[in-house]
Amino acid sequence: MTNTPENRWENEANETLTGKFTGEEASSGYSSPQNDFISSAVVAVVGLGAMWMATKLDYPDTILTSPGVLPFFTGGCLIIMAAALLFSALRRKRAENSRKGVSISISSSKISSRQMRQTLVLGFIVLVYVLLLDQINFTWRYHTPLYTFNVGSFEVISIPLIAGILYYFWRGTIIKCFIISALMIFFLAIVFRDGFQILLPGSG
Amino acid sequence: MFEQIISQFLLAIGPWMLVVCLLGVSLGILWGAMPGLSTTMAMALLIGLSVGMSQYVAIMFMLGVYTGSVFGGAISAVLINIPGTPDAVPTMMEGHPLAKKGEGGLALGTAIAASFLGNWIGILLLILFIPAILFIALEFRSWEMFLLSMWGIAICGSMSSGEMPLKGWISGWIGLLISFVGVDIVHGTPRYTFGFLLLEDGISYIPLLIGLFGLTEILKVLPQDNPYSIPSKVGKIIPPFSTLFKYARSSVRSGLIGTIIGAIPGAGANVASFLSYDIGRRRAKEEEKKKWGKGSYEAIVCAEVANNANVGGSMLPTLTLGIPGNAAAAAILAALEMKNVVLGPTIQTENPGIIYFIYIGLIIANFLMYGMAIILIKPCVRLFSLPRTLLMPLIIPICIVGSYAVHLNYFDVYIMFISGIVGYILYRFGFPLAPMVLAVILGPMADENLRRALLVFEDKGILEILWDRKLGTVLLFVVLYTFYDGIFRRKS
Repeated sequence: MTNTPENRWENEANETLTGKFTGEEASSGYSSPQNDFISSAVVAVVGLGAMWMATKLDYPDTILTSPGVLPFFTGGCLIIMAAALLFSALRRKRAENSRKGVSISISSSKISSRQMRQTLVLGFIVLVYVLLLDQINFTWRYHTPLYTFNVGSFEVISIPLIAGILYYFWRGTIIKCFIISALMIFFLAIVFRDGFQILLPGSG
Repeated sequence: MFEQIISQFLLAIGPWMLVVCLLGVSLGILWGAMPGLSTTMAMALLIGLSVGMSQYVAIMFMLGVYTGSVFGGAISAVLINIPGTPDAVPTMMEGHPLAKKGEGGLALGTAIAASFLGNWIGILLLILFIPAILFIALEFRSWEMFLLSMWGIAICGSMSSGEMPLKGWISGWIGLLISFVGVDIVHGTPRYTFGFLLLEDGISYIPLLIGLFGLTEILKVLPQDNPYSIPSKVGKIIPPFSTLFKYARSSVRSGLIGTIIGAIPGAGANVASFLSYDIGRRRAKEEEKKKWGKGSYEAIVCAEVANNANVGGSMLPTLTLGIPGNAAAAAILAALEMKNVVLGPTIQTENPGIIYFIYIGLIIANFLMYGMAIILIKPCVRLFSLPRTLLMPLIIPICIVGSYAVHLNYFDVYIMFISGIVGYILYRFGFPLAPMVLAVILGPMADENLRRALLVFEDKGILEILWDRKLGTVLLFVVLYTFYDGIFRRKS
């Protein structure tokens, strides 16, 4: 299947509607011209920044071994690529304008806005999870003759947060979400801490 | 050499090694079988489990995961018409119609047997060709190594970004910039650290890999709140060797395609299975050709042999040149580097015998994959009755623990989080992620070797360099051709 903008949107929308996986890199390639305008601007700024910072790097002897040689070249290449992307987007925009009235049958924007809201919520919850694990550190140990039980901040923070994510996206009952989350987190903690002797974030 | 092979063989067949390999294979199959969870993601996330293991145990584990996850993609492809991994799409196209006809068990059996055979072809070709490639690899100096790393990034960019290689290259070049962050290894000058001490150690590619493939996938999938139902009965699963004998020619051809594609840096199992499927369709007999697209066993053999032979093929450049054949092989490379095994032309001098251990490990993993695939099919079907909205949240703590476990540094968790967000944005704007990961891995090699080469070439003219370094000249043309091919051939 060709990866034209129409097909890409169609693939993505079908994937969203049916919940099917269409490939790891299936949606890469053409995007809407508007998206490519933004991309080319960002890439150009990154390239310029990289080149400028590369020229500021100190080097003790010849410029040939300067730490800025490849970063400068990389930044330059990015600017050229950004220009190529911009031209490609402009060409497609012109082509799009010349066939007015031909619209894409799938309303991807409606799907995207709903998805985007949920994605933002998910991203925020994951950020809170990461920050809490960084800030809260403790471990409770309970010794028995056979086994030492460890419960750290990893378990205490992870269980309610994962249960919350499950509740929001999976829409199971809160009890069910909590039990699944607890089982998974304890399993993971035991595998890492006791099985592979690896410290867990936030506790140990 | 013979003594080395015997000692490595005895080491590899130790009970603990077999248990760890079995664990890796089982986790790999389960992972690969889950819709959307790719081999690369399996390698990236499960790499964290190998942190506490010793060098050889970790290698065995990762080889098990690699072998298992490549096959695993076929399970969901055949049973529920959803490919677990991208390379299982051709298997899905042929296997699911067979499953609908009530031949799902036989289709899966064919896929298992074809995967087994594909792995063997890949391993045999790996063993046969490694001495030759090692011989050539020793001719590689700074200039050639620089060009090789650039070729890896260029080809990965053009192959993974559909009809717009430019975006793949942009992704790769941004990855190069990320790889420069930290203290420069030649002069000790901090680059792109913005005054942050934590950035002076550079950005580790393991959390980056987990973020780009793990968290990005979660952000992509979880907002889709429409779980699907799957059939609970599979039917009888009989590995049909007779079917393979019938398609022996297709198997050998697909094995060769899979191995050769695997050996090209940046080309993965996806390319191998699609190409093999396409060539198989063109070369099939007339009566068989009619079945293609409607449920052909030959097509399953072509796709599965190729994507499994790709495992052995991808290990060729990984072991001999230190250039990962694909993103999953990059994770193997990362796991080995974490265990102080530096892959590349000097592998036999710096780690004598390890290459034989890897051969034997692949053979053992292949046998275990065959056995475990048959055992795990039914539990896998039960697992698939779970919707992805239930599975994906459970992967979030794995992403966090996996990225933290590598250096026990919480900064890596932030790197993983930021990579996940950046990966999601790049995905939304149509940029592929694999070239970025490959570039972050290859960047330091490119940087160091370019500067060394420039110093060596200080007093030489361009023509003199081109004439003196013939291998480098060939590589230079290959790199230029890759760009030319990406820009002009695809356009036409």
